Amino acid sequence: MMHEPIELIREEEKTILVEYMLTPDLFEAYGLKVIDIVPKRGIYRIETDQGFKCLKKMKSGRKDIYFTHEAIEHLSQNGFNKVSRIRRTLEGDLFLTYGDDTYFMMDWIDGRECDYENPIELDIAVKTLTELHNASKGFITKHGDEDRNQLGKWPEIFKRRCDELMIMKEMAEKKQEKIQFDEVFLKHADYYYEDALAAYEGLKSFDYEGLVKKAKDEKGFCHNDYAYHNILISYDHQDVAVLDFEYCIFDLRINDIASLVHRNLKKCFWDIDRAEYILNRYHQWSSLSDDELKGIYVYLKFPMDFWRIANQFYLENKRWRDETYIGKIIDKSEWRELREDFLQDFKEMTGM
Amino acid sequence: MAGDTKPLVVSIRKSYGIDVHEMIAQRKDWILNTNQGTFLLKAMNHSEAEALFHYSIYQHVKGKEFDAILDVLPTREGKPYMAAEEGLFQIISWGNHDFIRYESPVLLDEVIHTMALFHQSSEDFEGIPGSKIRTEWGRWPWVFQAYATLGSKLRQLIREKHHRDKTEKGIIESIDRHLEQAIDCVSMLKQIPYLDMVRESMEKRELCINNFTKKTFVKAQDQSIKIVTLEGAKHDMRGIDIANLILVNMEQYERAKDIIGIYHGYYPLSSDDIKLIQAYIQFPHEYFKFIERYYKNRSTGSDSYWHKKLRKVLKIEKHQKNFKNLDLCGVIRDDA
Repeated sequence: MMHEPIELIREEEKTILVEYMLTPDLFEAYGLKVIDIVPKRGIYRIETDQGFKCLKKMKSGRKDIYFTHEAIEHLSQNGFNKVSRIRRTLEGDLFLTYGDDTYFMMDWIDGRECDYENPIELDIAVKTLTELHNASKGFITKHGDEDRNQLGKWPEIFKRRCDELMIMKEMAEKKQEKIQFDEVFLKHADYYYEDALAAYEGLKSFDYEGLVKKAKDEKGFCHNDYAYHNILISYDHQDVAVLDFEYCIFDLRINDIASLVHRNLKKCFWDIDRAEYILNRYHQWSSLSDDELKGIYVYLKFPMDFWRIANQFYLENKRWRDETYIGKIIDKSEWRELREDFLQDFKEMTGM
Repeated sequence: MAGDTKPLVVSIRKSYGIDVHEMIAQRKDWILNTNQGTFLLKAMNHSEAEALFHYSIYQHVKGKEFDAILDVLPTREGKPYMAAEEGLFQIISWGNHDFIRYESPVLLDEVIHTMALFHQSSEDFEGIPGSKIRTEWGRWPWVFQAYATLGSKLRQLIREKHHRDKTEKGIIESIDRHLEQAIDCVSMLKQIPYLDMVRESMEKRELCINNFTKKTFVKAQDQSIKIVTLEGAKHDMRGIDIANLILVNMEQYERAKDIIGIYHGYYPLSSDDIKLIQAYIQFPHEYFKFIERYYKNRSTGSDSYWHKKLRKVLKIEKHQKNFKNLDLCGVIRDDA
């Protein structure tokens, strides 16, 4: 399974937090005395006698934390100090196994979540991303495995997801008692399948292999979850911190850039001016090539949101309520004319 | 006491050390008659982190001697809210308070004064670490532009249809002038140094009350005006707060000049501030919020359902049009 950020809804956040076994033993292993605990976004902010800490339960294997830790340390060594480091236990371990679970602790960084709707802060987020990408170069680790490496795999990933869309369509059609989710999915399935296929074919229209080779030579990595809530900004904008490197992977930097553009487009009815704003800003700090712009187009062409929500419903069977699923699929599919217009304009812009 | 409130009573005793004798439902909240006096038990619709943000504003302004806000009762552990099975709740001091309406010029003057004092007190605000800070700085040109994009697309889609239902006819009939107004408002914001103003507001850490419903302010027993809670508060330029107060009083559009004039007397505004207010009050917010909901959900809901919603927002247009002819900058020009 790819290292993809996990989407949480409130119900799931509560479920996750009650699964944290918050006992004094856990904190004693870190030599900490707990004063107060406040939940925030599926983790705990712990006030201790040694300042504020962040406690997280590991969702993936132990090798992942070594990778994450090394990635963060690599950034710091390359002058990118806008990160929170993992705090070791009194015995020097990066994590603590307690019962059936494994936890890790980091220093809590205070700041406001970045507001992507504020041009001033979006600017800061883009600039910080260029710095992150530059500082990530030269990263060598023995803890990465194939799941952490997406370089060269876009064709395989896109093809597999195209196939999955068809499998899910078949599953929906075969259901005797369809619910609203199935109906909305089926209404849009063919349309988005065509888009997915066009994106897969679009991989041949720019020098993907050339970009992959360059990225392999540079040995840089992507954050892979560059959401607004993972960027903290101080009020005076002097301090910026990037959180949550658990999903970082080796991939083309345009994975992060396109993802940032996509997150913004969803909030502004796919207004092309927003995409231009982000790309111009990135290009100002770190030039983007024509092939990279085309790669961003292809990334945006793939109906990632639609595939993901369908995948969560039909294949992963995530236990959300029907209303949650229906709300999400409507949200992700009903703007398709606006998305289409944007893609058409953006395609022209890239010269594809 | 009603059986279904018993768990809450137990939670209140445990968290606050208060014995509740009576709970009187008041919409989603309750008036509590207790052994320590009367309180308002407010159900909170957001997370703990957001509750901490509101509380940190409360503490900050209280620290600046702004006392036009009802007291929040902390729990035994010093938290500003109680986390019960039923959700998050806050207890606020209460008495013989009356929610106020804005029709009275005297009360409106007091509300404006309270708002100006709140804005002044909010400067240099710092949120409690770990709180979820809500900001809306800098967004308005992009919001207006995005709605214009959406409106244009919907217009195009409806125009392409051979047969239109009542709602679609209503939208086609109204959308051109609303789009024109939206573009005008974007242009108005381009005429002011908007981002510089945002930066200045961010440096000051300006806060807005943001909620101006009929439940926002009360006239307390001592006849003073108090804010009930800061639940909707956010960071944004104070001009947006003034604009929202004007919009709540839209049916008496001439009051816009009074509101600005009175505010300016307490806390001076610049002509750029007023141009921002003018752009914000002239933007057809409710119309485009309807357009957004309709665009997203048009395959559900009947034509009569949507048409009814459309008629409701079009009524607002009648009042909002009047703002165009007001020379709001003249209010401070005369003062100069």
